[in-house]
Amino acid sequence: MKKSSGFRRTLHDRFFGTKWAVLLLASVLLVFFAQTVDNKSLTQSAIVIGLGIDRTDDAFTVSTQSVVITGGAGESQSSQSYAVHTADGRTISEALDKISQKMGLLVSLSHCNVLVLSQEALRSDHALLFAPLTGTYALPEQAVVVASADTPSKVLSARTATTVASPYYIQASLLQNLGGDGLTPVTVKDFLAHSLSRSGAVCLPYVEISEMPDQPQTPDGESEGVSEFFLNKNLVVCKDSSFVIGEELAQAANLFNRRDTLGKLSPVLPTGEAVEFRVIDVRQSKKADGMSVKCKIEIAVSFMEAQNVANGGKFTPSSQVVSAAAKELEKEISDNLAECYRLSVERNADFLRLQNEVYKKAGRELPEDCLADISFGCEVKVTVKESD
Amino acid sequence: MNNVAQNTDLRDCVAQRGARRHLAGLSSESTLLYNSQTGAVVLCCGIVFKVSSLPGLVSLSLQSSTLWLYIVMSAVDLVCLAATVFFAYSGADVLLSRSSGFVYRAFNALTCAYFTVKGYVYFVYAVIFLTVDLFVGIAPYIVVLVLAVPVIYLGVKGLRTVARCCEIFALLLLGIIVVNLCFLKTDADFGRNLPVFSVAPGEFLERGLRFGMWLGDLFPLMFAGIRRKKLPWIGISAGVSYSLVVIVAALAVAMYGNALPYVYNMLIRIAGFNRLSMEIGRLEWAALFVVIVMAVLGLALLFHGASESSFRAFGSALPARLLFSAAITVGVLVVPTPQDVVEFSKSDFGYVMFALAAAIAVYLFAAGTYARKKGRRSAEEERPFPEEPAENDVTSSVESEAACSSLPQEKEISADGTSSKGGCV
Repeated sequence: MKKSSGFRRTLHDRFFGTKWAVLLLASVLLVFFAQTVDNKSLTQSAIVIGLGIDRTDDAFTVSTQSVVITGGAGESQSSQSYAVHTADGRTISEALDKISQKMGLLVSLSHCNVLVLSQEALRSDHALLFAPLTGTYALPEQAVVVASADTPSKVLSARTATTVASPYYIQASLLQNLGGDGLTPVTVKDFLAHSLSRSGAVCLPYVEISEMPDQPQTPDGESEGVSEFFLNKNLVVCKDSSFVIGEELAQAANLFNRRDTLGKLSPVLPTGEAVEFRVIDVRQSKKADGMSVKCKIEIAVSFMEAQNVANGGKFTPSSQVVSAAAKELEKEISDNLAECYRLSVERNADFLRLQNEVYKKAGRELPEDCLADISFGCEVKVTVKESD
Repeated sequence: MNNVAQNTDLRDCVAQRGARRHLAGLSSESTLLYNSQTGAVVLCCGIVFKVSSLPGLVSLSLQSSTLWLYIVMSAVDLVCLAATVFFAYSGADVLLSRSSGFVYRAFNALTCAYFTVKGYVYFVYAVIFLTVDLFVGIAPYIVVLVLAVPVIYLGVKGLRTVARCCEIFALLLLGIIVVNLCFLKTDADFGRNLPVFSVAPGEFLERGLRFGMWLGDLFPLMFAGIRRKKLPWIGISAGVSYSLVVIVAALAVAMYGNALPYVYNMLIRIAGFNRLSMEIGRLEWAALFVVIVMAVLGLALLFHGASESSFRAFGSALPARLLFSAAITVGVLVVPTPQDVVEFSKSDFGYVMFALAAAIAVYLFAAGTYARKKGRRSAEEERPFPEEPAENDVTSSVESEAACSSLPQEKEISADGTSSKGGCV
C-alpha cells in the first residue's frame, strides 16, 4: 500500500513537477490547433473601409467599398485599389456572402469606419440591423453612421478631389472634426444607445453629393465625375419615420445634446455685420422638474473674423461688434432650439431627448410617448474668449 | 510554550492530514499564502465574470437599475469574502477536519457541487464570448481544449500556484484595465444610471436575485492558510477590485444605455474605445489578454476549491477533479446551444445559488467564530500566565495559534513520514 502510494506520488511529482513538459505539451497543442483554424491571409481578405445598406420591400441591398491589396509577402511591389461591390439579399449576411463570392475574397468589416444607411434601411429594426454587423462581421462600434440622400452605393463610389475613397472623406470630416460646422459624429454604439432609449430618436449626419462645378485638372486633362460632399444637415430618425433638418437646427440640436460639438458659428447682426466664431467648449446643464425640462447651455467661442463692419480695425472679444454678435448668437441658438422643440412635438420625434431627462426623475411612472406633455425652456450663454 | 500540548495535537492532525493529502495527490504546501498573495487572488479571480459578461445580462432584466444591483450584489459579495477570510484566519478548517463531523463533511460536499456548477457555467460564458463575440466561426472544441488545459493544470497544482500566478499578473492586469479606462474616449451619459428603480423595488429584488450565481467566487479561499504581512493587502485588493466592478458597471450603462444587452464582454468593449484607436488601432487584444488570464485563474481557483471540498467530504480530491474536468470539457461540448446554459443561470437557479452563497457565508462566519472561541478557551485553560507575543508576529496570540492551526503545510510530512521544510511560527 505504502509502495503504491509512493509510486503514485512520484508519478504525480514527475508529471506536475516537470513544467517544461507541460509547456511543451501546451505548445504542441497550440501549434496543432493553429493548423486546424482556417486563417485567411491578407491577400485573401477584402478589407472593407465603407459599408452601405439600402432596403427595398423584401430585400437588403448591401454595398462595400474595399481595399484590394495585390502582391503578397516577399514580393517587392504591392498596390492598393478600391472597389465598390453591391449585392442583394433577404438578409444582410446573405448579401455580404454574395459580395464575397463576387470578389472571390472574404469580406472583413473589422477595419470599416463608415456605415452609410439609406432612409429605407433606417426603417428596419435597429437592433436587428446592427446585430450581425457588430457580431458576426466584427464591425467596430466606433464606426460612424451616416444617412444619405442618394443610394449608399452611390455615396461609396463617389470620387472626391482630395481623397481616394469617399469613406476616408466622411471619416476625416466627422471623426477628426475637419469639416463639420457644429456637427458631430454618431457611432454605431451611440446610434443604438439613443435609438433604444426612452426618447428613441437620433440625429444622424446627412450626406449629400453633387458633381463639382469645376472639375479638377490632371496631366491628362479635366477629370470627370468628381463629386463634392455636403454634411451640413441631419436626418432625424425615430421609430416610425425620419426627416431632414437644416444646418441651423442641426447645429442647435447638437449643441444641446453633445459636449464634443465643435465647428464654427456665424451670426449675422440685423445691421448686416457678419462675425465668425469657433466653438471651443460646450457645457449643458439640464434639469427636469415634473414634466418640465429647463436647460442652460454655456458655449465658449473664440472670435475669428468680422466682415461688413463700418469702422474696421482690430477687434477683441470685448469689442462692441463682437459682444453684439455673441448676443445675437445666443438668440439664434435659443430660437433654433425652440424650433427644434416645436418640430419634435409636431413630428413626435424626441431628438432633443427630453423624455430621457424626465424619465431620470419620474422613473417608471412616466407614460410612454409623453413628449407633447413636456414643456421646454432653454437659456443660452455665449462667452467669447481670446483666439489662440 | 505552554500551548505545546495543543499544538502537538494539532500537528498530529496535520500530520495525519498531510499523509492523507499525499495519498490524495494534494500537495500540503499548496494552500499556504501570504495575505498579499491572497489579495492578488481577490483581484485576479474575483471580478472577471462580473465585469465581462454580466453587465449585459443584468441590463436586459433591469435596464437603468443595473448599477444599483451591482452595488447591492458587490456588498453581498464583500460579506462573502469577509466570511471566507475570517474562516481562513480562524483555523476552523483544521478544527472541523479533525472532528470529521458529519456537518462539515456535508458542507464540503455541498461546496464541492457548488464550485463545480459555477465552474461549468463560467466556462460556458468564456466559450461564448470567445466564439460569439471575438473569434467568430472558431470551433468551440478549440476554445475548450485551449482553456481547459491551463485550468486543470493550475487547479491540480493547487492554491499556491494559482496565487503565485495571480501575484505575477495582478499588477499587469490592473494596469491594463486602468490604462484602458484612462484612455477611454466615448460618449457616456452617467445619467443613464437613473432612475434607481426602473422597475418596482419588489421586482428589482425578484429579478436581481436571479444573478446570485455571480456571488462567492472567492469561497475557495476558505481552505487557505493566510500569513499576515503588515499592510492589509486583502482589504486593499478587495477595495480596488469591487470599486472596479462598480465603476465598470456604471460606465457600461453610461456608454450603452439600453443597448447594453448586446454587449457580450464589457471589458473588451471598453478597450475598443480608446483615444489612440485612430493611430494604433483598437486595443481589444490587451483586454482580451486580461479577460482570458483572469478567466483561467478564476476557473482554476474554483477547480481547486472543488478538489479541496471533495477531499474533506469524501477523503479524496479525485472525484471532484474528474467531475470538474469532465464538466468543462465534455459538458461544454455536448450542450447543443451554450445560450441555454446562460438562460438557465438566470432562471430560478439563480435564487438557489444566491441562497447557497448566503448559507455558505453564514456557515463560515459561525464556524470561524466557534473556532476562535474554542481556541481562546483552550489558550486560557493552558496558559495560566500572560505570554510574551512572539517576535515578528502581528496577529494576536490566539489568532496566531489559530492561523498556525490552519496551516497544515507548516510542518509538511512527506510520504515516508519525515518532516521537511516549514514549521509553526
